[in-house]
Amino acid sequence: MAETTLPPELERRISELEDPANQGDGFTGADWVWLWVLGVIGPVLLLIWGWV
Amino acid sequence: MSEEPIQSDDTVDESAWPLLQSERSWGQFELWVVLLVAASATWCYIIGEYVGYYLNMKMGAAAMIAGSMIGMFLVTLAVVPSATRYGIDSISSSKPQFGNKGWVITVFLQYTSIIGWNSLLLIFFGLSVAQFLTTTGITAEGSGVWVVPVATAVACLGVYLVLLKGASGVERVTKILFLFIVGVGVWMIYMLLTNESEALAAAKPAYASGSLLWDYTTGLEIGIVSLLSWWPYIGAMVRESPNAHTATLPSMLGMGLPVPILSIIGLAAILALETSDPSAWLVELGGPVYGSIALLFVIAANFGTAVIGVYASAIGLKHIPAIGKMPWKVALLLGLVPVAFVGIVIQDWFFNNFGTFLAFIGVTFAPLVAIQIVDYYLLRNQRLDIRAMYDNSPGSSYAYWAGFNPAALAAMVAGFFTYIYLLDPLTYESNFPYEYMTAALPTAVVGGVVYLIVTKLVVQPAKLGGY
Repeated sequence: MAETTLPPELERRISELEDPANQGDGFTGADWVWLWVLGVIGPVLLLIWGWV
Repeated sequence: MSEEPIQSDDTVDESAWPLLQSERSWGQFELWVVLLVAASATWCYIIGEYVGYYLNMKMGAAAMIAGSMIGMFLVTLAVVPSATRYGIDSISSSKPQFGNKGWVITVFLQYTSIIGWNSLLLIFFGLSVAQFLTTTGITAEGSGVWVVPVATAVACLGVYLVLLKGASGVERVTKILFLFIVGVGVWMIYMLLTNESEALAAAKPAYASGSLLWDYTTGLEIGIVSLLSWWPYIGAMVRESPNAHTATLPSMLGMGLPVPILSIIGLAAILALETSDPSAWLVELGGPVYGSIALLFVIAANFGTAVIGVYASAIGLKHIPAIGKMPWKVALLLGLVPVAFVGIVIQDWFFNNFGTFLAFIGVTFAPLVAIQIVDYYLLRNQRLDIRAMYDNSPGSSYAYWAGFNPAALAAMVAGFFTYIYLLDPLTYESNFPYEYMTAALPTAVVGGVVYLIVTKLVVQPAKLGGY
């Protein structure tokens, strides 16, 4: 367990962010589609186009 | 942004402390603008020039865009989810993997790489100002001897003044530069492609190796490694947005795509005109007015990127307890003074050693992003211990052994030597299977696998790391 005494303002921030309701959401399903299209599928297609 | 005092008179966006949901006000447009301005700088011409040594226009463009998007994909996966979930920067996001003292490794990587890049950008800033003043007849030929250091010093001062306003200063200056950078960038691509289409179609790369596959892979490799260099920058920016969804497309298209698109300018110019410097070839195409526009573009683009780089490095430095207690304006100086020193005092030495320095810095980011991806998605189920990130005591979940996680250290070392075996970044001598796989991607795989194995066999059985 933590032993450090944090500055009060940092402590307040951490306490708030430890509640999942106050955290940012992760990638949505649509985000994953975009990520794979732009980061994997698109580059593969581009490489094939450049090679032929 | 909150005006609540954090340390001395600093606001929260001038500290390494996490931002709360209510303070993360950047939407997709704001983030898009900031990331695009960060990405658009002189390095794009250099990247394009390097690729143009090996590949023709079509293959070069395909390899650069593909490599850049793959590199951005890895950086986005590594940093964006944790940064936007907890409002933290890249350094904080590395604490769960490297330990509550081991994160100094990532601060070192961030600090040195950003100082290196910023030095390059501000030197080019100074050179462009000198050339602009000469082109417009304001100063005489040969005045660069004093104009370059003075302009570099003025740029450093300008960056400092902008960043006294923290993240809001970044947002303001990027909004001003955004339209000019996009507009002139598109115009330069149009000028090149329409005026030099025949020369481009016939152009042969000057240093082709004789193996088209090796050349193609090298173009891809340059794209991947260049974009992995965004790791130090991206966390400090995306933490200003409320969730990963807001940051996904700005990251991939705002930060990932402009680099290869602008690099096409360098690629086309080196192939058709044998110079990647836009101020040189635009003078050739349209006279001094066109050249002056190109120089203003370089000045604006480099200034914007330097602002963002210094901001990200100052946030990273704020993690160091002694610096964290210092006022924001002092932390900024720690990011700027080395840049000013390099740009003004040891410019020639820096140019002579820049490639060596950045080559070895660059190879460290491939295993780094893989470590974070494996840790966040496979080992921690996308949840981190925000308290442990800011707890430097031996009792912290991220204290590991004396504050260092051997899994991360082993993965970094394994990745580093994998890269060096596959591709010597100084000589570009390679070993099998580089031409089929690149160097960065196997390096990332090796780094990630080593991290996973050491964590499973050593760290988790010792009940360390908060798994």
